[in-house]
Amino acid sequence: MVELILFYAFAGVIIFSAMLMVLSRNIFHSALFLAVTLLGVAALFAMMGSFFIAGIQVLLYIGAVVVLTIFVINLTKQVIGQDAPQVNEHVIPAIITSLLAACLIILAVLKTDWGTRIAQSVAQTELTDNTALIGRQLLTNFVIPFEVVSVLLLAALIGAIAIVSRDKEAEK
Amino acid sequence: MKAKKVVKDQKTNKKEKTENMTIKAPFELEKLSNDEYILNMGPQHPSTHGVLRIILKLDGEVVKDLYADVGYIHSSVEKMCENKKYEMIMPYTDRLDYLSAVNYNWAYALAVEKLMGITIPERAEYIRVMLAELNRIMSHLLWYSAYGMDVGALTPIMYAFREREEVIDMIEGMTGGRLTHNAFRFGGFKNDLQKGFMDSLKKFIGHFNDKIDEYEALLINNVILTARTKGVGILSKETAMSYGVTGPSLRGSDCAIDLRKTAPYSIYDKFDFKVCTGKNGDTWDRLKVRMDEMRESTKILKQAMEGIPAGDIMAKVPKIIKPAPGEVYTKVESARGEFGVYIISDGTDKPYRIKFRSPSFSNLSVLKEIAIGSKIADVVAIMGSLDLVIPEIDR
Amino acid sequence: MELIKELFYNSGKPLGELYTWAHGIWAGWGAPPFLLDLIFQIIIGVAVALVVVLNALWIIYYDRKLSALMQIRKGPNRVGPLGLLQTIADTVKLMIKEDINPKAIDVLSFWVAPLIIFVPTFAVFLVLPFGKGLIPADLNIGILYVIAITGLTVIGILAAGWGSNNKYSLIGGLRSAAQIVSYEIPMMLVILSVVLLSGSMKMSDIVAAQANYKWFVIPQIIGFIVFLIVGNAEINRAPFDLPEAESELVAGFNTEYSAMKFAFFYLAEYTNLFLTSAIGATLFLGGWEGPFLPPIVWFFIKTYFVVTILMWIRWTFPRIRVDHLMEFSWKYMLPIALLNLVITAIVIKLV
Repeated sequence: MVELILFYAFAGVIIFSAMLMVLSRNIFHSALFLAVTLLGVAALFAMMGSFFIAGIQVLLYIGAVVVLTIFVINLTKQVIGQDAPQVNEHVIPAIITSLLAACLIILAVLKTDWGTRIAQSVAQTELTDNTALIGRQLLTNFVIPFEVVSVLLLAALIGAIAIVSRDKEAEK
Repeated sequence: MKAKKVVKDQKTNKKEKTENMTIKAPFELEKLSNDEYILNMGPQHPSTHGVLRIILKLDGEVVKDLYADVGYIHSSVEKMCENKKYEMIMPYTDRLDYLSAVNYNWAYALAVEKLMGITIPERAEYIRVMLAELNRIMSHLLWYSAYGMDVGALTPIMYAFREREEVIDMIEGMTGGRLTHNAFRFGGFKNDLQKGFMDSLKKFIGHFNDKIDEYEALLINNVILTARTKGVGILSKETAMSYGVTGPSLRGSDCAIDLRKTAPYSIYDKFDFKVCTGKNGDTWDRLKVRMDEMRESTKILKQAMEGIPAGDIMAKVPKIIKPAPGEVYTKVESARGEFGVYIISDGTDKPYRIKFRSPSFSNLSVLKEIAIGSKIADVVAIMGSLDLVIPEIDR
Repeated sequence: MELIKELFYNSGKPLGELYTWAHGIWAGWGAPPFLLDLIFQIIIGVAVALVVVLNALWIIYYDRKLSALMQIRKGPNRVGPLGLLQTIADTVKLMIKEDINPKAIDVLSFWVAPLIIFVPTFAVFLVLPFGKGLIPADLNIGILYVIAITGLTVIGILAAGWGSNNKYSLIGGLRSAAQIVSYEIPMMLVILSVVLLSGSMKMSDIVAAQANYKWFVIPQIIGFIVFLIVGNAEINRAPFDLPEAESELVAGFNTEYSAMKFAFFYLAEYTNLFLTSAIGATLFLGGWEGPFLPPIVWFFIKTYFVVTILMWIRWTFPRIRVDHLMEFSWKYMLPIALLNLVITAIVIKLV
């Protein structure tokens, strides 16, 4: 009962703030609403008993991604009071992408066998500490994807440094 | 229809004109590149120590250009002096630099005495030297505390004010005033030393050197501060000379010019003291010079205390000060640098023209040379090391 | 008498009994049990809020008195006995002051910023182990929760800096974000070393792992020092108070704030100081463990010991410069913390 109410409350918050994020004409407000959306998702994770995922969601998505987004917005020329345009010239690609994404999500929702999934997640909630479980899984079954992601991140880091140093050289 | 348009154009023109006038910077806003922006430091800002406006052109935190906008508290002291009798001008010189007022009194008194040809009794000279050196210590102590605040250390001010209070109490006993004394008279000094002054001076000299060590341990030799000030805001000897920088700021650049030594006035040639200099001309050297100068001042005070003769404190001076026509320039070494007074007398009891040469004005003008390319925090640190007093700049 | 003693020394047991007892009565009335849980949670929330506010009042007074001691002053001594009511007077003053909203602000960011800064600070109290069994919510991700939630305050500072539409605020906000993000990494590495030693992220487990005076400060002395420095930087206190560097940026990100909104920033700053110290005490100094006195007293003694160290640092050093700050984090703190983590891992594996 309580869980249901909470779930609908969080889901409402997520959808509402996601819409506000897209519809807001102020780019800074969009970033703030993005943070709210991600916080809502983290709350849903926590409700499902995966506190670790929830914590990581807050730490990485809000504490790092949104903060960096806002940081970049702050670095641009003051755009306070300026309304960002909501439509740009790439209307048709945008529609196509959105439709494809929507199809994907709808398919995923329809194809999932919710009955067994929920049973599984309830069973997982019984586990007191799934942090250790995640840790073990990451270093056994999923070690290759894990390492690939690390390499990808490293490549991104090096790429960023390379771009910055090239700019510096051009300045000289 | 047409007329209306013309009127409108005029209106917009006028608007543009006023808009342009509000931007008082040598660099125009249109010339800013995409990364740059303008930051107004002041007129009200915690680290300008008064009503001074520094317009900074910044790229991120790096200063690309700066412009010091002076004159916010201009009060036309020089013009006012033309309408005052000679003896009425003395308090105005106090207000130029309220932190080391004595030296400003002194330069003015010296000028009038030179015009009138008055010789001063030796005891009065000794009292003047003692007062001036106490005042220099007091000014440097205030600079030290303010500098601590500038670089974010909130504690040194309390330690420096402990000794500053002692000094001010002594000066108060000597002159009756704590900041602006107006104690000099043409031909001598207002009153003789109070009873007990020598004892408190002796006590002060006895422990002050230890206190200076304490200040240095607390702030000047701190790791964070040395990292922030060494190699920052380097002022070369040549630049300093060409901008007319004087005082401790000049001596920090390895240039041993101290008017007390190089052009001794009063009885300074009788005292044995060192002209403190820095080596590299960076911010830290300027700090160190001031700390060393306090030690030298203590030395002078000690010698003065031991050598003070008995006798008169006032020479014979006519009741009405009416110098013969002529002009005179005198200069003293104030806590901030060379302070000069230039007087043209036309034979009446009011000066025809007075010009003050104030050290902070020249010292401020060099800020642009040494601060460009540093960070915002460095501008504060460098500005603090120049020890500016705003009323003296604006006059 | 026995009950009171147990309440202080082993709070978990009597509180648990109280809980089951209340549930029994509640079930007797036929009311749904989740309502009682809700009531309990509200009571816990109010209790935590009370602790936050009372503690902030005291810690501000303590800071002022301690700084006065270091600066040969007297400190507040007029309002109330020994000036104890000074903070209350200041708070009341801030409450009744005019709340000034500059014309050119971005209203949403300007209004929401104090809340974003304050709410996470408040929320972290949920996992603080005040005593044996006296922990509002013993999450199994305890310390991760702390890191994650405190990371949110950056958004508030950035929002304050951006929403004020003031260049000083903007620079303050940017400095703060850069600072907190860079110092969060060594902080996490240090905490990770402690988690390696305790084998759990649960706060109660971390305390339990240090039982019998095997405090982590001894094997993790480097970690503790790094934690103190980095923690000080994370809460923007001198010598790392660049975001609000008074002599450079007037007041940094809170330049345009007044009245109660400013009070929120102030409250958050001091509460953060307490939090960092409390976490330091829990991770390194054995939490509430100690002889003779009740655990909750030991918790506060240890926390205030760390608070005192941080205040001592604050009132002694000048402010570090912004590029030195970054260098200090990336070139010194991060390698030391990383090395500490690796050595800890190796030693644990070998022993």
